[in-house]
Amino acid sequence: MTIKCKKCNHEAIVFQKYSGMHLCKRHFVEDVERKIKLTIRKEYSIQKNDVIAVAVSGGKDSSVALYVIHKILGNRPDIKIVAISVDEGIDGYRPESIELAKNLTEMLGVQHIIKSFKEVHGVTMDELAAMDREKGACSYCGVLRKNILNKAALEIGATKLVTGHNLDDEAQTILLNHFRGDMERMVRLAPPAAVEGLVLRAKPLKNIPEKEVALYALVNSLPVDFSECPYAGEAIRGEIRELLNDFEAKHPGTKYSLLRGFDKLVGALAKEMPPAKIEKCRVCGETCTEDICQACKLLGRA
Amino acid sequence: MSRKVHITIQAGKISEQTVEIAKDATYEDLLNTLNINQETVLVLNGGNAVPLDGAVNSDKLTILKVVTGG
Ligand code: SF4
Ligand SMILES: [Zn+2]
Ligand SMILES: [Zn+2]
Repeated sequence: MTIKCKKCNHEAIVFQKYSGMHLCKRHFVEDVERKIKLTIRKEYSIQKNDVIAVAVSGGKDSSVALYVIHKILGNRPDIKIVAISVDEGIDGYRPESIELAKNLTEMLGVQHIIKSFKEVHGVTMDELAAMDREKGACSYCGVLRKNILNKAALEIGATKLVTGHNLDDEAQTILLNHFRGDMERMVRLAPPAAVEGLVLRAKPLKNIPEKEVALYALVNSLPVDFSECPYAGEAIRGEIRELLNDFEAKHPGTKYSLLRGFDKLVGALAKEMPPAKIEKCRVCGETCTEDICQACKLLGRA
Repeated sequence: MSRKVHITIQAGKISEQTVEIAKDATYEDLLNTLNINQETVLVLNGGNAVPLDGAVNSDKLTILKVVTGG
């Protein structure tokens, strides 16, 4: 016996516990795209002549982000969409996933820029991982990747930089910052105001649960990579993910609640806290909030 | 009454196993038996995703692990 879609009579492919709905393929796709459009309209209003840079890794999240942005905005003659990939230099992992990203950008006919750690920072992630270091591999990787994405986005005159962060990523980060008592980072998670030198970030998938992002990629036959990075994950984030998923399974809707609560909190928090100073890194000139940027600090260029 | 279901788990690597479940078990029950959190996987029957509250109606399923670090 099969279960029927709540909106039509076709066979359901998914049960959203948090909404109580069974959805068929067509209505699932519609539901995901409706949520993404709503997020964009509420938080990242699209302007005439926007140049939208989309960070793509070949993984499911960023591929879905690019695919949906292209589907929604690809026919607007005034809007330009450009994909940017960063090759961190992780052997046996990234080259394969960047190939998949290329397949997608070719399929969509989207311009695709590829930068690498080696060419921009002079060092690969594999080399960094092998060094004596104070922090986890992902701390280096994240900072250096963001640095390159922002630079590349600035170079093409991008007005927005889209990343594939999904509901799970956001809920995990919120919980992690709570556990660490890091309210400054909380505020920085919110959609920031435009700052000269920093391209405005947008997370159109922030209201889509991770497994629905995967399902969306699957039903649209997107070329995506489900494999795992050999340096995967800060240990603590893994613990939070597990905790949150256990809680979500028992109490559906928890991830959405965390996000909604955070959205309310952050407005009030931002008023309480002094705005971050915006400075230029005195080593590389990158826009940042201290006198030396994170990338230069991590690479010991100070 | 119980029955056997052959499971292929895809998580970067591929592994296979057979699991015994109750005759009227749902996909959710099946995942619980395997100790897999339902937030982290898709269950595919003949390549198509299934709603996890449905009753298992195949003796061959694929579990696609979709939540990984990175
Ligand atoms: S898991 Fe960590 S090291 Fe691997 S790509 Fe992601 S951030 Fe970089
Ligand atoms: Zn339907
Ligand atoms: Zn710098």
